[in-house]
Amino acid sequence: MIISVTVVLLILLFFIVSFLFIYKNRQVRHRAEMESVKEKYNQEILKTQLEIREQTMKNISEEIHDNVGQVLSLVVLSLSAIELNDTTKAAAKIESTTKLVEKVVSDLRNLSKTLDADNVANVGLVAIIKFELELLEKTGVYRTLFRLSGTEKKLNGSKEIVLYRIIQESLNNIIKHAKATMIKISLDFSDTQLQVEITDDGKGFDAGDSGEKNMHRSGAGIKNMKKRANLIGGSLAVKSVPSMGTTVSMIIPFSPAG
Amino acid sequence: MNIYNKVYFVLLFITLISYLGGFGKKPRYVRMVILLMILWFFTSAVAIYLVKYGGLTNNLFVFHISTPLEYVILSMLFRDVIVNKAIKRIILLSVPFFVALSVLFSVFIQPVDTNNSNIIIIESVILVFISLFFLREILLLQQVTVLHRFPMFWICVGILFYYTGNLVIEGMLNYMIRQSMELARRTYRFGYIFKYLLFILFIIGAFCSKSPRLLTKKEQ
Repeated sequence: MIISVTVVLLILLFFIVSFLFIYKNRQVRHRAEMESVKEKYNQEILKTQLEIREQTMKNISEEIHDNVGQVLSLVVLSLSAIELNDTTKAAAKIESTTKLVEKVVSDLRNLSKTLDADNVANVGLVAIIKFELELLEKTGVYRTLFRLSGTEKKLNGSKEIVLYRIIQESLNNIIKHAKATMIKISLDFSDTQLQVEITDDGKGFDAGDSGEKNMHRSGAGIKNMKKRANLIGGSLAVKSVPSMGTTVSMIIPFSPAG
Repeated sequence: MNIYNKVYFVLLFITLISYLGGFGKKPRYVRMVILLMILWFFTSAVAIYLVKYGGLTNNLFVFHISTPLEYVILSMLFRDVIVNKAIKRIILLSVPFFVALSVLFSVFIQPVDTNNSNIIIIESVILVFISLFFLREILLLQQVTVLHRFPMFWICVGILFYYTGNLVIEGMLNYMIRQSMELARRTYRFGYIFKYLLFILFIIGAFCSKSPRLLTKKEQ
């Protein structure tokens, strides 16, 4: 009996000690893995933020060159052409110059909004997307449409940044490749997820037989967008038919943290 | 009452008091352990009373009633702590199945005046598997910060060892009875080691931590 008790106790002790030891080892490994995943995630967010900043700077530089700069040159010309002897003509010139300056002020106000776009979390996703569409509409090349269904819910900061960057990238692709005249963005907030759709009426591309093939053809840009959507726990799909436009759809679930 | 039973009752009471102690609403697994202790106390007390004072020579029908109840309590305990939804569902579905099976066994295969070893073996096999699955889940999910301060770890190890022992003992008991009554008695007494170990591990579980510290979202 004593031998049996000792054997059973030894087996039990061995089992408990081994299990605790294995658990501790796994715990250390698990923590290291979690740290590495967290680090990768933070790096990706940082990269995304830098890209947004870069895009913002590009927008500002274009705006200054194409708009503010042009108008100010016009102001200089207008002011230099004022004939001080003829007060009536001078007053008319000053009035038109004032209007030009007011336009510049208004454009600069819009530019400050562009700088705000760098901080998605403060401005809100819907406001920022509307602003992006306004900028496109202003070029006179595109008609834009924005549709919101459901009540806007806040995603956590990093999710919004990544989502905004994906939308920005989609819009860039439309501008660069699609030759579209109409751009439509729709956001659908439900209890569990946010569905985003970016549609254009551009030249589209051959999606081939499968979506995967499409991904390979469309290159690194779409792959990167897909990777980023996965990073925030969502999914991204691209549908395109030649001459019939392209639709990028995303589904981002609301996790407890998001 | 022999010394084995006396030690059994002492340990059972200590376990019961350990889990009853403290105020406030107790977690479901604690309530299940308390229920199990009460069931075991009544089963053993009634079984001993019937033989000692009731004039009965066979008290085995008591165990035909207590075994399915014991399974219901333990499966509810595991259903509550296991995370995997499929396994939770399987455990829940196994309850009516096991109860029906034990009734069928008691009616047709091992009548109430014989030891219900078959159904105990089935119960032990299922519970050993569930305990092993729970331990695997603890290992894989890594949600417990300090394992030796996690009560369910000790409770699960106790159940695992007790039912592994039970499996071996019940598996041999009927054969032993046919060979020699003395050998069968010795084998049965050997089972007390596993019962004592179960109580000791349950008591460790009650005192290791009053509130298991799980990883917070931030720590994960």
